[in-house]
Amino acid sequence: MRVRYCALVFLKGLAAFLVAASFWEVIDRNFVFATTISGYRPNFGHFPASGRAVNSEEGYSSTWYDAEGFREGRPIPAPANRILILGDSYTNAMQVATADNYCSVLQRMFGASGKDVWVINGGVSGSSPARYVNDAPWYLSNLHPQQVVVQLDQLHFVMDLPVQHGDFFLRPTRNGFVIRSEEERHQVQDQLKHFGLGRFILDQSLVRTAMLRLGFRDEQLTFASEKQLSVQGVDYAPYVDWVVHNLKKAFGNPLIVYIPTIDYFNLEKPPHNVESELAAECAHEGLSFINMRQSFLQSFACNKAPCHGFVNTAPGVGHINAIGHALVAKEIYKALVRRGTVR
Amino acid sequence: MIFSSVEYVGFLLAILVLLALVRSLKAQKVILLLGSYYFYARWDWRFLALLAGLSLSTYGCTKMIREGRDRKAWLIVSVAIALGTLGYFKYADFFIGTFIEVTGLHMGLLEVVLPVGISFIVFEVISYAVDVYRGEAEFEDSFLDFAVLVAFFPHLIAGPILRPNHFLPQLSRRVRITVPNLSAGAQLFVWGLMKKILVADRLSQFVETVFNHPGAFSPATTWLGVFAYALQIYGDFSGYTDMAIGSARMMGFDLPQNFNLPYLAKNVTDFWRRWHISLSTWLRNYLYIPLGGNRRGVFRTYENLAIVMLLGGLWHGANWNFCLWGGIHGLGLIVHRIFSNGKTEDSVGSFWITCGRGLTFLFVVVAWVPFRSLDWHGTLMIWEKMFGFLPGEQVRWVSVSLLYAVPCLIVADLGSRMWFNDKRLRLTRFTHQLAFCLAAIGILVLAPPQSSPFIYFRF
Repeated sequence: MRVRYCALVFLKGLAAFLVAASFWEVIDRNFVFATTISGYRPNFGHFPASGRAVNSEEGYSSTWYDAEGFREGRPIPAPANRILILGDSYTNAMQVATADNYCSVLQRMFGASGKDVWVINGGVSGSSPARYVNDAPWYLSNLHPQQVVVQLDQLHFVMDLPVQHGDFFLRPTRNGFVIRSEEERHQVQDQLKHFGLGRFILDQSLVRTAMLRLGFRDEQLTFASEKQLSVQGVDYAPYVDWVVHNLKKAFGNPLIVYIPTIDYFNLEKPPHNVESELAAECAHEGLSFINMRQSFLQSFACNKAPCHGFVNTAPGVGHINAIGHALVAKEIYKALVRRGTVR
Repeated sequence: MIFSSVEYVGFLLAILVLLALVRSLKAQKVILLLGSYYFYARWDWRFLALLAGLSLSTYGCTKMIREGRDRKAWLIVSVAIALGTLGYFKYADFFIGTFIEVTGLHMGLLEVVLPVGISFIVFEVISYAVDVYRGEAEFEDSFLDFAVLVAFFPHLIAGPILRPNHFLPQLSRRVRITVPNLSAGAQLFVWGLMKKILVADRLSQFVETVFNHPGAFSPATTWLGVFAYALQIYGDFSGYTDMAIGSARMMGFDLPQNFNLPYLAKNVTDFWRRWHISLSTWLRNYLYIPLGGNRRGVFRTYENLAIVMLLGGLWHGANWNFCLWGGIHGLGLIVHRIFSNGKTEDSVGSFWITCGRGLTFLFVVVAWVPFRSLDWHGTLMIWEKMFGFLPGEQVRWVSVSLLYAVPCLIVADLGSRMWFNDKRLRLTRFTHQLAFCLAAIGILVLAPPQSSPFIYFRF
């Protein structure tokens, strides 16, 4: 009798757990945090495969990706001028609504001035310049852009390129650098394809959210090994030289947009020397370079609202917000119109 | 090992399993003691000797008090050892630093590492020695029992401070791991976890930015930041306490309530009956009453209130800002005493009671500023900003974290209040199980990406 009672209580508890987990699964996927299963093309790297994604940790957005991994992707009209914007999470911008993303703002600005332009948001979170260079042939042959804009930021040089934990990083050699990708990670991802349910649980479900909250790192959930090098004492100049030279080689005459990290409450703090090195190297290679620092600081001086940070995090911290995106769009628009590449 | 970590849940489960498997009372106490020492060692094993040493010295002194020879002298020795330890580890550098500032002499600081929970441990051993001296608690023959009282892991780091005659009798009966205790303890633990993770951790990032840049924000944003801190510290500390009481309940132990809706207090005196109850009780029993309490005239009463609150402030941390915070509360208590002299709560209408609640909340919120600020300069800047005395360019920012945090705090507070009123979920029923699972899984889903350490661990 007692055993039956205990079993009944246990079964009821199990049912309650499953009902509660299902409820939160729905809430989580629709309003809190949802990623898409990442796709992978050989010699290209990971991209967000088609599906819906939700972010509420920093800012908020609920968006979807098309089969090629482009945010809010739509059929691209054939005769239009195409502007391809490559970047990382600043460009992918899961922190802001699609309408506030600088690619969308730029699209609207061209539309309002009667120009037949299609802006393609090629931002992939965690991307590095090594990846842009590596993936250049695919982008150029599949999208045929008239103009390429490349977004860079400080983390690319102090973290993504010298530290071997991303999809693509640089390994120093005697003659410069070679692009490397984390093959092991790719292999594990490929193997996981054979275990659809397991991959779904770890990549997408409430279990992923819960494990991240419990302190697991993203990489641990995909079983990827992480090979970190110490970044202390790294001389960034060779990385900057390599990036600018190879972006020019890969894309011809790309427009380089740099999004700085700014300490809004300590404006006397000097910018990272990557900024000046990047500006000098772009000038040396003859590439147009936009550093958003001045625009962001001017806007902050006028409006007293930082261009980084969100109402659910803290002012001045993290990615750029809608104000920052609007300013980036404005600067790119001005530069492209000045260039005359867009008719 | 903090309560809101997976490591702690694993540790607690291991202790529960061991206690359930072992039948002998003595062996269970050994498990509790070793478990508690392991818990403390996870912070810093070097201070285990300090914990054991304080337990041993207090046990030895109280034994002499019990034997009746030079009772007062032994009490003084016991209290002096405890306060000397606290003084060395917590206040030595503070007083040396102040001395250097005042005299301008060139001296080096001792740079002593502060053992976690030292203030709570010291208050625990002092209360035991004084209670034995006064005859309010019986001397505990078993050193094992006394050592468990001092080191019992749910209350070791940040209280609640236990009364010996409340806890020691519980050690005389065998620990039984029962389903009702597990169920009740788990519920309170979850309510505490909700306060900590969904309220305190959610607000910490915004609070930190506002307090780290005191002159940078507009008055409205600064007020929001200070309100957010008031909720953060309450969520953090009462959440910790709920988790401590819940953990103890799972093992069958009863720890005293430490918070009772403090932000609904009718006046400052009422606030201190509801906030950190075990500390205010300790200060009353072992400081205010020995100083004479309210038995030596009006002005002596005010003096005693001021002394108690100043020392209570200093107890929180070796910083003049804490003294200022204590002083403000002392002043609040004195003012309340002056205006309420002879009046009972029944003689005041409900309108004035509501006004009193609002004013008290505002007073407490404004008083949190020196408690959280990094220094005097920051405190003054934030106060000047709040009251519009610091014009100039300023950042306007609205934090929606408060919108998440306030409903979560209300739900969690309601849950823990019902728990203390013995209205608990019965986890044999499906609907109650569902409510429990919804709360527990909800915490994981809605948790902010980063957690912050418990605020009171610094004290």
